[in-house]
Amino acid sequence: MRHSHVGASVGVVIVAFAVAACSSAGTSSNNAADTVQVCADVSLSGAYAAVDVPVLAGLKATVKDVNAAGGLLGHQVALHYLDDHSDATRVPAIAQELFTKYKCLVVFANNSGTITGALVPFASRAKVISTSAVPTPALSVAKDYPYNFVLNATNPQQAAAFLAAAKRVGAKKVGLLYDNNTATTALMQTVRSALTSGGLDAVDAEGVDSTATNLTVQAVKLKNAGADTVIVQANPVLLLTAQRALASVNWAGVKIISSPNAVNAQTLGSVPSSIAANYYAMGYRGNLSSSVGGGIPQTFANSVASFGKVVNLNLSAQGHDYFAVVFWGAEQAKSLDPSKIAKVLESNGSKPLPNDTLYVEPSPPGYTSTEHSMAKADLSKYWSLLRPGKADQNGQFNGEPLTVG
Amino acid sequence: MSSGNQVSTILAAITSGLGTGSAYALLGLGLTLILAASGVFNLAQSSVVLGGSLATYGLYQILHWPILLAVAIVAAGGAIAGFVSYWGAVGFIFKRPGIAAELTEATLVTTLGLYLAFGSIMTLSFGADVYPVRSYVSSEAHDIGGVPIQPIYVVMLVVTIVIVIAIETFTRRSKAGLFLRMTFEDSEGAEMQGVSVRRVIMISFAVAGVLAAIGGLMIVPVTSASTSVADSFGLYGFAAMAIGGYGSFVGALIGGLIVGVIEALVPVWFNVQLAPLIVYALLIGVLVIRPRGLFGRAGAFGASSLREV
Repeated sequence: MRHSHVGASVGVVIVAFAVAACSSAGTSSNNAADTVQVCADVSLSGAYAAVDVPVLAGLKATVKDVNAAGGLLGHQVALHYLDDHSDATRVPAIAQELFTKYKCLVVFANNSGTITGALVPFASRAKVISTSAVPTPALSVAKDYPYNFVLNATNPQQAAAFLAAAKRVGAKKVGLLYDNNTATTALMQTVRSALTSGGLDAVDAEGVDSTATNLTVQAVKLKNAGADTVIVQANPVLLLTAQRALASVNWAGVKIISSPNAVNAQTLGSVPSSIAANYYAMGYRGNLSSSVGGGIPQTFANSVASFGKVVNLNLSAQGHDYFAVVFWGAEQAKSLDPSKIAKVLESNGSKPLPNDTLYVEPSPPGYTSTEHSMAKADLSKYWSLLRPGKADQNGQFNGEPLTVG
Repeated sequence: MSSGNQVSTILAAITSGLGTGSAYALLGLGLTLILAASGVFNLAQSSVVLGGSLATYGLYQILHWPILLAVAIVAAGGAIAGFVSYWGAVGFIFKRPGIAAELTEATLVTTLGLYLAFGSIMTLSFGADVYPVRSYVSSEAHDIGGVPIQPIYVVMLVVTIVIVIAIETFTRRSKAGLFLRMTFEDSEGAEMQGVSVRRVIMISFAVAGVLAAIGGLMIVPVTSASTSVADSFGLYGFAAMAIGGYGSFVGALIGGLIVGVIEALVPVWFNVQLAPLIVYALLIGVLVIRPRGLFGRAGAFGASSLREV
């Protein structure tokens, strides 16, 4: 009797494990043999969901629009995606499924540094073009990852933007509060150097675990270091924790600049009132409502809306660009061969892409045969400074364009 | 950092650590209660903390119910969860008190199974997302001597101290408490005196469930509600119980506060990720030097002498 009850409990555990192990997955309906397969590793829950959920909507909208316009080189496009639950340990299984089951032309390789860093080697080995916004320098080296292309500012470019934002808000002494993963730590070191070179005083830097739930001590340390401005580089969940901590330490007049990767309705809609007046979210130009400078085509917004409420049109437009740049390369190469597409992207140089190719990323991206980052792109009109408040119907916000350089 | 600033940073860390440590203490208190009553390490206890925090998110944050009503519902839910833990993982195994070795092997497996199953159900229901919950007291910190004191930490500490005093008073002064202590001390003797030991154990599970659920409610404005809460809480709650001493309610309080303060103080000087390492190094050190914990009573694990586990 006792053994059967213990056995029953163990059985419950096994069933629970089996059910919990099933990832979310999705695929579009085109699965004919001549269909072009495109893939995505997205975080639909967990710390990175706030970023990837709208990105996925953009990927879907892009595939829909391409198919409606006749497909890619005459082939319909099918999207396959898997949810990694913001957990990099799931990447090997996801890579196994995506790259062996489907012959992906391109994979959106997530926007988390940890997950992208885990997926890109698999994609490169499988000769699948990967795109993401993770600007880790090692992943941009063409010799090591010939099929990985980054659509995001490099660390020095982001640092220049943070410097411009800090000067714009009148900062003199700046403290840094950030997620201490490898990629963000490297970025913050670059930001710190840029602040110092730009004549500001970087007084303190506090790296915290991405799952930290109490940042009171870090907030007090930054306050006691004499900072008048705090730059917070964190995922959306950690940013919410940081907002609560900074609001709780009676820090009158502190200016806060949060990072572009954490712009969403929750982080900007729930800024504590005690810090809202001096709270700025550094974002992209696409985060701005069209009434204050945002320029994403309404036709694309309508296409995203066909998949549900538009949560963050800028992120969806980034999703569009992750695929659009590869589709453009394929059309230029008149081929679906990843090597030929990569060659086109590398050799485009300073020639701008057609206006309707990229919605929010700079054109040209500036890839070279040795470097697949946007180091050579012109990002001076890429940024914005957003203010707390409710998002509009497209998930965009009030604010102003931020010109850098 | 100037010495004045360092002092205020340390004091701010201590106040936040006392607050979060209170929640660990409530979990440790529940673990101690169950261990003292039945000799069982209830590994599913931290799941009830998770349940309490998610229930608070639903009732208080989403439905905007008054906080006291949410407390009552969450407490009732915790009691039910305690009963479920008892019947689901322990009750059907528990034939007679005192078969400590066999009971422990089986209940380690069953309570672990319950913990994993509950976590999986919560993840399937809520995903791995994090749900912020607004504070139930003012979030404006009061500046005392340059140290920002957040009201929520004070409330957490006071509530926990009141609960410990209540439990101690009940077990030492009331008739029912006397029967409880009889069970803790000598369950066979208590049976012979007509005390239903199984009922006492069942009630212990229910009370422990209430404590864990209230712990989840109290801390959720600080941690937000997420399925990952249970993991860290479980580890620190166990450390609170072990450091404070098995079978001691005051020990669970002190142990919880020690764990909370260490967790908060580590980032003042060191990398924040060293906090769990330091807590467990302290735990090992305490158990090596004083196996029954700081305030535990005599016995292999400091519980009553008949509860050798």
